Amino acid sequence: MMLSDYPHVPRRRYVLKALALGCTLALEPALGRVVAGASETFGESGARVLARVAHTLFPHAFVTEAQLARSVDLLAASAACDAALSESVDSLLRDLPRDFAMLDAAAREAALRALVGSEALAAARRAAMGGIYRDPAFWAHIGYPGPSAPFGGYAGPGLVDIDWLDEDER
Amino acid sequence: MSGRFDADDGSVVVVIGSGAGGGTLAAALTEAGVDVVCLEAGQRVPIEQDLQGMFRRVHWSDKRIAEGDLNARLPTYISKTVGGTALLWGGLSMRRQPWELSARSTYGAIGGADLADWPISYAELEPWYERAELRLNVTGRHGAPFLPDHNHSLVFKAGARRIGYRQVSNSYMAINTSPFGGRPGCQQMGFCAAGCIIGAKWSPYHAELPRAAATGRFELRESAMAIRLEHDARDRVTGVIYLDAEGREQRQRARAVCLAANAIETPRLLLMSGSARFPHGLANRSGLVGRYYMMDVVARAAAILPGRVDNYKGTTYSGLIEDENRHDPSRGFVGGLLFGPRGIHLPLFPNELDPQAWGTDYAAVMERYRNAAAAVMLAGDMPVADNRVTLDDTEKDAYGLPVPRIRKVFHDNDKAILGYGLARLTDLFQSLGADRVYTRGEYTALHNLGTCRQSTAPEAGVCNGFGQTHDLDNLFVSDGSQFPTTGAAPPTLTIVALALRQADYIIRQMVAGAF
Repeated sequence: MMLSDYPHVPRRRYVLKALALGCTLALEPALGRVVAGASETFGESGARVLARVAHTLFPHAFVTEAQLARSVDLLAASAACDAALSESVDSLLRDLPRDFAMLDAAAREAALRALVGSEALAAARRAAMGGIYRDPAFWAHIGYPGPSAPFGGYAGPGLVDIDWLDEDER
Repeated sequence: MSGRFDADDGSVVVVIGSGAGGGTLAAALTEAGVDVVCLEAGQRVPIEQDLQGMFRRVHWSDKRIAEGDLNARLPTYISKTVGGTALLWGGLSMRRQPWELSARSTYGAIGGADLADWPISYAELEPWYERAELRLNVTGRHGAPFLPDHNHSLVFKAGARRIGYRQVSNSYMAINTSPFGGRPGCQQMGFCAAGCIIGAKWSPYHAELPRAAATGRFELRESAMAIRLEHDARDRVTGVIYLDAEGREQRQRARAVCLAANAIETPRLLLMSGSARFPHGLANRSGLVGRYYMMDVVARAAAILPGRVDNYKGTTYSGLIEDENRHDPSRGFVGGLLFGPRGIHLPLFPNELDPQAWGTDYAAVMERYRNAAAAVMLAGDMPVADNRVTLDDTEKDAYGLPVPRIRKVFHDNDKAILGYGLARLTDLFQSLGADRVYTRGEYTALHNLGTCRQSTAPEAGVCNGFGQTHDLDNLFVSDGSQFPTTGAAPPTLTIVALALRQADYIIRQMVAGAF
């Protein structure tokens, strides 16, 4: 495999591109395909901005930096599979205000709203879903227990514990 | 080849695909004493309670080109794995209504659609439905109890009754309520659509393929991608060419071949198997292979309710409204609808309500996940000749095979039934106190049907009422491709019933020396 096989891919993405060969479905990047070092793909400042993008997409107060970093890693993995997406992320980074990461939440959201329709924004949303909503630490904040196999399922008295339907509906 | 059967053993029946059609057919044939080689393009995977992970591992992600209304990014939801798409199915097991099998006679001519009556009557199919229900141990049938209530089923049924529905139940599910068939009773694990980690839900993976294997007459070849069928000058199929896991071409001779590769791959394989005698594709003298592609009208609604639901607890789809499953053109469309709840696990929740939404307000909605409820509507779509599977002229997939093009444009009747159904689900959730109801049509095909339709006359379809192709006596269509029309109920029980009936027919034909 030669770099010249990917004339449209900047050198900093070459390793990622090669690692990602065989990508056929980038709907939700496979965890196994996550490549460390999103900053290698997007540059350090780009990765920092994209982490703020992820938080702006899903601005939960209890989101962790690790979840945001994971979101950017997932986006990097997708971009490594898709040259057009990679270019779109570059474009997104160019089009955002230079001080995007420093803006308040409302201004960041407004800046992203101006870019609706961008493939990179859609991909960033998918990546943020993976980085944030697949994290058991996030589940704990919401009260979702995740897989039931460790405790054998919900069969038994606790299966019905709803309290707000009318009595004859329970 | 180091398997149970030799590649030159022409006495075996080759079944292509190990899902609801192929897996059931293989089990029924082997239990009757027929030797079967099953070619499965995918591999066996361990089951995990990870919906996205399972999807990634089993999804048929080979390239397809979508046209029309299909989701270009993900046109079909088909599994390439041992057990087929039925590994991830929900379990709702309902018969076709009698009038759905005579759609042309019942609905009359519908402009822009190509309705047909099935070549088999409901009375002919009924005993096979009974066998299928007993085999799948369907809840609420033949004395089997329904699954127990959980919060989500109670909420759904309460909303149904508040808006006037009366035919409301916990649904007819191919899920054991107690141990049956060597599989355990349901423990309300959730994650039904990830394959059922304990095997309480019927699937070929857990039920049919083990049955076939227990006979000693069965060989399952994984990572075996069928690429061409061969035939002789008497129009008899003689064998199957496939690529093995290393990409090497292999040939398996066959006494008969049964296609159960799903409604995309089954016609694709026929179209790729053209010859001098079948210049437009094998079994395609009618020119109809690939036409009349259907995907059902499937849509979703979800809402945040005033109190906690915890919809993730327990069986994913337990609950059903049958009131609308009738033919009543006064509603503005032909055909009927079904509604049921649909549990959603948190990792998928952001896409369930609105796959494009984000921002402060949406995040606040996400934080109310435990108050969420969701439902699905099911209805049949119209068979339209130009909705079809064809082979792309130039693009090739990783096997070097022509990429299938899938065209689907929704008929006006499909749109009318979709609008009606989503309005009713909106009513249901509003009756429960929802401020906002999120609705969306489904443009990824969950049910893929109709591309090798049954017919009485050879010029009107690809196969007869037994799935036997009109053009080749020992070539059968054994999956949902053979449906001339669809309906509200999910197709799996009908596919299983047809597979059991087809197995009986094949055995009788073999005994009679037909092939």
